Amino acid sequence: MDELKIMARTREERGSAASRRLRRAGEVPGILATQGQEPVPLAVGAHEFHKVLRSGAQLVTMHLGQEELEVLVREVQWDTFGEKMLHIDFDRVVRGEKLQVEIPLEFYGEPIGAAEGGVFQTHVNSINVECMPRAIPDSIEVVVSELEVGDEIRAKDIVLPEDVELAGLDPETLIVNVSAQAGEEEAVEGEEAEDGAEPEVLTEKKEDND
Amino acid sequence: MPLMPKRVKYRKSQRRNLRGNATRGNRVSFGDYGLMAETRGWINGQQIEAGRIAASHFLAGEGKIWIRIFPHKSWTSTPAETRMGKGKGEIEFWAAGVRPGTVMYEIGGVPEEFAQQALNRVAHKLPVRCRFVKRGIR
Repeated sequence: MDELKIMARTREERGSAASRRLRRAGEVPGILATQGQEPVPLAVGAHEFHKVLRSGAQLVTMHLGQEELEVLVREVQWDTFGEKMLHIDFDRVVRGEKLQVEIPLEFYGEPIGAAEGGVFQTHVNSINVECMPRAIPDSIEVVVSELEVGDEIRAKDIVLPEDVELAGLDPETLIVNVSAQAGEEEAVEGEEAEDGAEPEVLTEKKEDND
Repeated sequence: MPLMPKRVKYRKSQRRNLRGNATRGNRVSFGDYGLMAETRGWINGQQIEAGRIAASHFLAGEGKIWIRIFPHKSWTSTPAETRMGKGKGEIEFWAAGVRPGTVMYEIGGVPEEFAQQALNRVAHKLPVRCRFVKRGIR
């Protein structure tokens, strides 16, 4: 588990205009939530925090004024193009208390089925786990090299590190599978193309034959 | 056949402005790589289908393609050399409104270079400027 350090400062200015000024100055507005206390608005360096994100670390040591706190990166808000950070939510970690965190899955190996013409599909890329702050893994390994065509891995099959439990996920949830043949999924929104030239109009007046 | 709705409440729809950036459908959610719109525009069913065919021919059965946009809006036009009036024209095609940031196509189960080449071919079929994007932090 990597532990990184970031510098933060409390901010007095609030609102969208002040946040925009902060972002222009190379900082990102954020908030630190502590259980049973008022949240503290703060600002962290964008470049510095980007390094933390790239490292994949969830637990960060934050220097806030004279204090040194252990915090969890709960949520990062991005702009439309996913390039600039808009806001960061931090949660203060209480030692000795279990946490729920989202951990990315890492798939290892080339499935046997994929080499035989099947299509390897990932359905879930991260899972929620419950563990002590010190036991938070950077990622969870899923070995997929043994999968043949028609095989699948469900949430219950994932080998979790010691002291880490699944949280809020049905054990039967499909994680990966190797399907028989290549497929195309048309229009996620559910409607399909019809061979007919015109769609059916629900409010169209029907001609009376009387 | 180009994509179009199966059934609609009203045949001819009003088109709204495509102002602002995409606030939904702007992340790679299904596959590993995606094609994101950088400009706004209306993409009709034929163009979506052309993109799909270009990608699936290139992938030749490997991987999986997701189309994240659907042409919900009907586009009408009056024929040439027609006098003014006589009501709204007939439906010409069905189109999807795309704002900057919309992830239009996704590909999964293939190496990055392969996906990039496939999506580049798709981008050439579309009337908007596109960008290749990956899942996760950029």
